[in-house]
Amino acid sequence: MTARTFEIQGDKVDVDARRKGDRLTLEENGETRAWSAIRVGTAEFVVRDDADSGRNHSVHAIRDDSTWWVHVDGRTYRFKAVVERGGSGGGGGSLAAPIPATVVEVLVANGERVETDQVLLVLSAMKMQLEIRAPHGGNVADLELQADDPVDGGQQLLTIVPVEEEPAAEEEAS
Amino acid sequence: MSLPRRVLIANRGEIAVRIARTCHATGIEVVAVYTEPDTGSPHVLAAQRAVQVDSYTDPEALCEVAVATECDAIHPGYGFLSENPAFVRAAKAAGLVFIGPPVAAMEVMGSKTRARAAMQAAGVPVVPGTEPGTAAELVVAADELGYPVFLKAVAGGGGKGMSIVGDAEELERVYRQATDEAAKSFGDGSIFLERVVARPRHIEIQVFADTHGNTTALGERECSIQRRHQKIIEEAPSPGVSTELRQRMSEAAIAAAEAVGYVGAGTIEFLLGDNDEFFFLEMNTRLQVEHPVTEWITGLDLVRLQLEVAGGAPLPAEALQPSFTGHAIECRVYAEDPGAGHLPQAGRLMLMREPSGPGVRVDAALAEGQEIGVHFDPMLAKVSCWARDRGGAIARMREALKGYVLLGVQTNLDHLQDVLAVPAFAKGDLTTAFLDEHMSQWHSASEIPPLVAAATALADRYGAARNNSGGAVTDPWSTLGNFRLGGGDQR
Repeated sequence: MTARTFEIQGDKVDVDARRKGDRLTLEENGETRAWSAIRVGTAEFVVRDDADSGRNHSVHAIRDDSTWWVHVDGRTYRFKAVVERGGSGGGGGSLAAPIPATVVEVLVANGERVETDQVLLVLSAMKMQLEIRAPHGGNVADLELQADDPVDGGQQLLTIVPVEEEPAAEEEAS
Repeated sequence: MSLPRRVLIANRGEIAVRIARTCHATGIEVVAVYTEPDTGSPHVLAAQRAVQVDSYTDPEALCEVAVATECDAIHPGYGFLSENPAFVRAAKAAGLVFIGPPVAAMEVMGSKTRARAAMQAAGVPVVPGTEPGTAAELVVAADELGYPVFLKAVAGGGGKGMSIVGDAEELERVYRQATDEAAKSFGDGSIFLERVVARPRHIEIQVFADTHGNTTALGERECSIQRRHQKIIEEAPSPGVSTELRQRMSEAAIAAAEAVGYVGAGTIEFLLGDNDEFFFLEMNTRLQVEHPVTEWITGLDLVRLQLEVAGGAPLPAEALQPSFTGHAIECRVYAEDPGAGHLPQAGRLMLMREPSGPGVRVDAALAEGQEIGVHFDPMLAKVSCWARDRGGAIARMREALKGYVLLGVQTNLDHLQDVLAVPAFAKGDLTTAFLDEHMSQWHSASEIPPLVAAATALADRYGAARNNSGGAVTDPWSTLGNFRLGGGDQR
């Protein structure tokens, strides 16, 4: 996981969160906070604070375009994910392998424009096939994989760089 | 006793689902109606039959559907046509039983001035006030009543068409707006005045009458927690009503219902002032939104009673001599921004988890992927909780609200939790000004705690994004069925 910028009620917040295995860490003002994370279901997690005698926090989080809706311990937070254009490590555009797997098929190429939900890669793990879909539209970048390549869980597969809507497009269309 | 055999529910949303539940449990078939945007809505799926209509508010068309689907009765729910005499007449003309009061009772109670007169004649206390009049007449009358006074539209109701004015100048100014608005909204610009009862509670009595001359009172509901004159939290019994006062208010409520020849479920709303002084406000001639709290403490199913009374049965002993057990609270969950004047909010419900457990009830008609629009009432759900005492009911409610996850549209869930946490609420020190006095500075979360930031980054990693069809989420796992990160032996 890389640095992200969120925006809540006009305030921008930089978040440097990482996950390694079931460890979730957050760098903040030079301090590191750590939790262990358990994925319970779709968009549903338990985050355990080991520093607080293993206290469990129930998390539901879902994104609608650039808006995050996050429910933690009974409270709802709504904020924007700010996409830093062109910067390395910025934005939420990178896609990672959820589990150790083997690449079955690469369906896109660097520079290709893709739509939300478009299938980008097919992985195989535990004798099952897993489609990696685009979480949002944009251009494919950082893709260096081909069929039969092994990937680790958490390994970055590719990046989707969001594209600015061209104002001219509307005129052309009409 | 002959219960209806098949009932058309002329409503949508949670109340249609709630009515259908009792019908199913009573062996009565349900016909739902729906407009095009509601095609896949929960209330449609909760019925044995469903028919598309152009509108929820066309009496003739709804009665035609009821006849065509061989219904013998219509349940109007609340809102829409539930208090519309034309609907009662249309039902009768079509040979259908209207599950509600006789048309005459509805008409009297539907007019503020006629209701007032009927209540005065029956010896039910009413708020001192005036006949409708011109601005000049009302200025003279206001001097006698003493400012501040309420300016009310004769045809208004449900918190609509009323405002408070502090002096003659303000009265004249507000009068012009109010009369224009009332003429536009209700087709009647008549305005009258009422004395303002200082720091009142809003207390209502649930009444029930059958066709055999029995009228009963099923206790009070405390509905003081209101925003813009609309209730958000209700409870029973009221922490401000003694046994003696309950007795007096119940007697007044029964007298009110009998005065208009009432039959079925109804609610007499009172303002309760200092010194246990109470005044008739209005009667709601239908099932009330907050009826679950009464069901909790009486053990009665009010919809079942409605069906029985409509079928000509006498009220059962449990209703005629009700006993009240424990304490119940209801919170209304709205799609709104409580930090911005409670403005209604729209959006798509992307993720939903409803609370459950002992003493917890959710009345809702929600589904993930559902588009929450601004076309209908913004109420999403009602959560009600019961416990042996008030403190226990509040504690259960706080837990229930905490466990209610609704993501994709802004709701008042956080706000409700904070209202319940106000010390004055725990003390039961409630008035209709409670929210203004305790919650006016409230706003939704404006900071992202570290845990929330980290959890969001985690969720982002797993691609917890809405898919195009708006259903659950884009989740690589869902395409694979159930299997778990890290192998199958984690749990």
